[in-house]
Order: sequence, then C-alpha cells, then structure tokens
Amino acid sequence: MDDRTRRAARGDREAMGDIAVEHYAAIYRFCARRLGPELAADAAQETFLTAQKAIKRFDGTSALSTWLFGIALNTCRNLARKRRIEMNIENAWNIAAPSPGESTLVDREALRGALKKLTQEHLEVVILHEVEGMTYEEAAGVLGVPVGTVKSRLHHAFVTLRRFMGVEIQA
Amino acid sequence: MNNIREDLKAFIDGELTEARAQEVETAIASDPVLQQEVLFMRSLGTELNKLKNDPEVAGAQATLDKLRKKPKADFRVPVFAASAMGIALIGLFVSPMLMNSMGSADTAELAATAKKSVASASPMSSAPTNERVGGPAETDGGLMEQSPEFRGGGGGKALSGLEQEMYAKRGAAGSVDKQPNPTDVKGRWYKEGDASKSSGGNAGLTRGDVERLLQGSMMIRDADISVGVKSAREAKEQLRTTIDSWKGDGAKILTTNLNSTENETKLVAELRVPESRFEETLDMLAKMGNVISEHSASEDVTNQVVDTTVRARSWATELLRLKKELANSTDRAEKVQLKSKIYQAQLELDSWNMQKEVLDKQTLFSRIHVTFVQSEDGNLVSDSWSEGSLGSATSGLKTVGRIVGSFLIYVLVYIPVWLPLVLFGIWMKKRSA
Repeated sequence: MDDRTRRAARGDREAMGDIAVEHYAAIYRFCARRLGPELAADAAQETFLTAQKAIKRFDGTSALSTWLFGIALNTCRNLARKRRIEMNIENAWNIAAPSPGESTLVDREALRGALKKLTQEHLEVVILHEVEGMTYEEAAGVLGVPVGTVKSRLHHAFVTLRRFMGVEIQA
Repeated sequence: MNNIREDLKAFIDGELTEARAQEVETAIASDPVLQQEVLFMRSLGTELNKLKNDPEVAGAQATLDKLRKKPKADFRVPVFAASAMGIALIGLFVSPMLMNSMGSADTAELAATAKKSVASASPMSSAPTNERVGGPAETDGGLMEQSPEFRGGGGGKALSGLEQEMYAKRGAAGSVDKQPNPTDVKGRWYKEGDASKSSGGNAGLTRGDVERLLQGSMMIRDADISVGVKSAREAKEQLRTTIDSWKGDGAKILTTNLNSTENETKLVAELRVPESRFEETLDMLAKMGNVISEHSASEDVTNQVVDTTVRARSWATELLRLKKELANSTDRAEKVQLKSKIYQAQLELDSWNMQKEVLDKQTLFSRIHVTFVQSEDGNLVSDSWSEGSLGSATSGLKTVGRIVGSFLIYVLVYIPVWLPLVLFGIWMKKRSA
C-alpha cells in the first residue's frame, strides 16, 4: 500500500482526491460501458464516495485500481437494479457496419448478434478482459471469483460467440 | 485434445504456466484445426478491443469537489443521545407512576399518608385535610402532642383495647400476622367507654399504632357472580344451608328473588359474608355450577379507618377535657360557653363514631351478589355474558387511558428537561447546515 492510500485511509481528503484524479477516467468509462453515458457520472461519483468511506478497510492485497473497479461494478449493479436497466452491448462496443474499404477480421453483424446471446456472467468477463484490458487475476479480483472461473467463463464465452457467429472450423 | 482446446484462450492471453503453454503450443503446431481456432480467437479479441466505446469523461470535477469538501458535522449522535437521556429521565419518573396506576400500592407512601392524616386530625391542626369535619379548631389543648402516648411515652396499656380490635380486624381479614387473637371480632373501632378508660385524656393513636394498623390493609370487597346451574331451587337450598352454617360469623342471605320464564329460571340473591369468608364463598358458588361471569372489586380504606379512628379519639378526649373543665368551673358565663362546646364536641364525636361504624361493618363484611341461571334445555348460557365482556373491556380501556394520561402528564411536566435538549439539537443541526 502506498503512502497516498495510507493517507486517504487516515481521512486525508486531498489524498483521496489525488486517487480520484488518477482513476476517475477509467472508472467513468467502466461505468459508461455498463450503464451508458447518462448514468456514468453518477455511478463514478458514487464509486469514489463509497471508496472514501471504505478505504480504511482496504488491506492492499489487491491493486487499488482492482479494488476501485470492484466497488464500481457493485455500484453499477445496484444502480441498474434500481433503474431496472439491463447491460446493453451498445454501451460497451460501437459495432457499426464497416466503412467502405475497411477490412474487418470478423463479420460485425454476426458479432453483434452473438454478443447479445451471451449470458450476463460471460458478457461481464469479456468486457473486463477484452475491453478493460484486465488480466485474469484482476478480473477475478473485481468479480470476486477464482481465477479459474474467469478462465473458464472466457473460454465458454468465446466458444458461444463462435457458435452464434456461425464460424465453422474445418480440418 | 479437449483439455488443450479449453486452454486455447488462456494460451492466447498468456495466462498459462510456462510448461502448460509449451504443451499447448506443441499441440497447436501439429493440429491445423487448433491453429484455425487460435486464429479466430485472436481475431475476435482484437476486434472486440478495436470496437470498444471510449466515451468522453464527464463529471470529474464534481466528484473531486465532493471528495475534498469538508463534511458537515454530524449531530445525529449528540441529538439522539440528548433525546435518549431526556426519555430516560422521564421514564425514571413515569415508571413508579405506571406501577401505581397498575395497582401496586406503595407501603411507604401509604404510611406517609396515614401519618399526614394523623397530624391533620389533631385538634391543634389549623388546616384539617378531611373536608368533612376538621378537628376542634378552637380548642387550645394540643392534646395529641401533650399525650404521653403520642410522644411515645408508655401509652400502650391505655390503647390495648383498640390495639386488640385492630389485630382482630386483621385476623378476620386472613392476615398472616401473628398478633394476639381477637376477643371481639364484631367490636367497633371505638366504644363509648374507651375515652374514659384511657385515663387522663390519653386518647388518639401512637405512631406505633398507625404503623401496626398499616401492616394489614382494611378492604371493602364486593363481588358479582353469575353461575349456571341445573336447578335454581336446589342451588338456593344449598346456598341457604352453607350460609346458615356461618350464621355465628354474621353471614346472612339478605335478599332472594326467584324469576321463572318459559325458558329460564333465575335466582338472584344478595349475601353478606364475613370478610374472612369472601374467597371461600366465591369458591363455593363457583363449584355449584358453571361460572358465567365473575367480577369482584375491592377498595383499600386503611387510610380512612386510621383517619376516622384518630378523629373520633381526639374528639372523645376533647369532650372529656371539656367535661372536667365544666365540673371545675364556677363562673356561670364560662359554664354556658363550655356547655355549648361540649354540645358541639358531642355532635362531632357522634358523627365520627357513625362513620367508623359504617366503615367497620363494610370492612368486616363483604357483599356478594349472586345470580343462579337455570336453562330449561340445560344449556347454561347466561344473558349477561355480553355485559361481562363489556365491563372487562371498559375497565381495560380505562387502565390504558390512565397509563397514557399519566405518561402525557409526565411529558408535560418534564418539558423543561427535554424541550431544551431537543431545541438545542435542532439549533445545532440548523447551524451545521
């Protein structure tokens, strides 16, 4: 645990402010990809205010960012439940039709359809790893599940995507 | 192969151990299907990352401001603490009141009241508490204070008669107090000759007497019981036999009234039983059939008994003194004045004696109003069940009302305690806002 985190844990508001400055953009985008830009600011603010209250309990066993993403994930889930909104893939990806001349690795329309078929658990792990760029360990920390679970969910998510995209592997 | 396939994604992401990664890599190199799968997963991963939304960040400053802003002082804890303290203070004083209203008599308070009565009944008292008749205010004797008994100086012998009567009273009331047994249960509290027997005007009660008297409560008790029986006439006969066997104690059937209708026969009787047989009589009546309703009431008249006894004693002593004064007087005008005073004192004495007699009878005997209900079809259903329930419900409501009323009175009286605390709390909260 670094000195700034320790000061924030002791109630230093400036230190907490510094932490927010460093992590706000990532947390905001994280929230925006789940709830959309309308609710992202509220969710991000709520995340940092919760973190400010709870930072005394942060033990430093995981990275501060992982701990913050964990709070953000819970905040987003709570907010989504209150507002009765479901995770929308359009918030996470901008899957527009390719512009003329643009080469694509996969069929985007098929990808959009396949992503919609994913379960909430699979979608979450895909976003954390492929979009947020988290390692398996970080994703496991945020979700509060073992690393093996993250690995398994990702594998199944990709198998599902391939199946629903209609891609056949031929020998 | 399947195991290899499950680890393909982790292999692509570099999340496998070196040994496992080596194993998977070897498998891929030798299997074109796995190669295609790896290729697809890589392409998909790249595409998912490429297409991700990167929204413009907003609301950072507002969050920073909120995080850095000094929080408002939280006065909830002190306000709650102050309120709790106020409530605790009020509760401390309300609980005895509630206990009293629920019928638990405080002996100490009773004794204090009795002592107060004794003091106010003294002929010296300038402000008698009993509104009916005060002590002989014009008398300047200060008899009770002058009395050696009142001062605690060897008056026990002079009052032994009264003392015995009091113990007799308690004995009759079933008290467990092991005092000398009564010789005259029916005796009055005061007898005409008592004052003269208590030579030298040593009338009135000693403090010891009062305390002893208060050890056993004088109760006036009444009961109303309805009993369903198979035969009202048989019940009447059984009742008569039992009451007759208690005749020596003064038990008596005062009135009986037998009413017969087409469906029902009802016998109403008014009983006078010794106070000591009150419970026994109710038990006996209950055993005669099905109890449909039963209400009993009791009133503690100990203070009244003490008060009346003391006043009668005082007036008797005063009368004796006036008579002695008259016998020694030679002045005609003084004699006339003394005779007038004697007349007044006699009136007072008679009045108090009468009150004592009434109280005496009321405490020695209890009244029981019994109704035997006989139904033709043997169904012992009373027509007074609704009345009984209504009575109980009303009584319960009164108790609740009394408790709530007492509580509100305490809340009002303790406004100076809790209101400033509450206002202080509100002021602090507003100030912090």
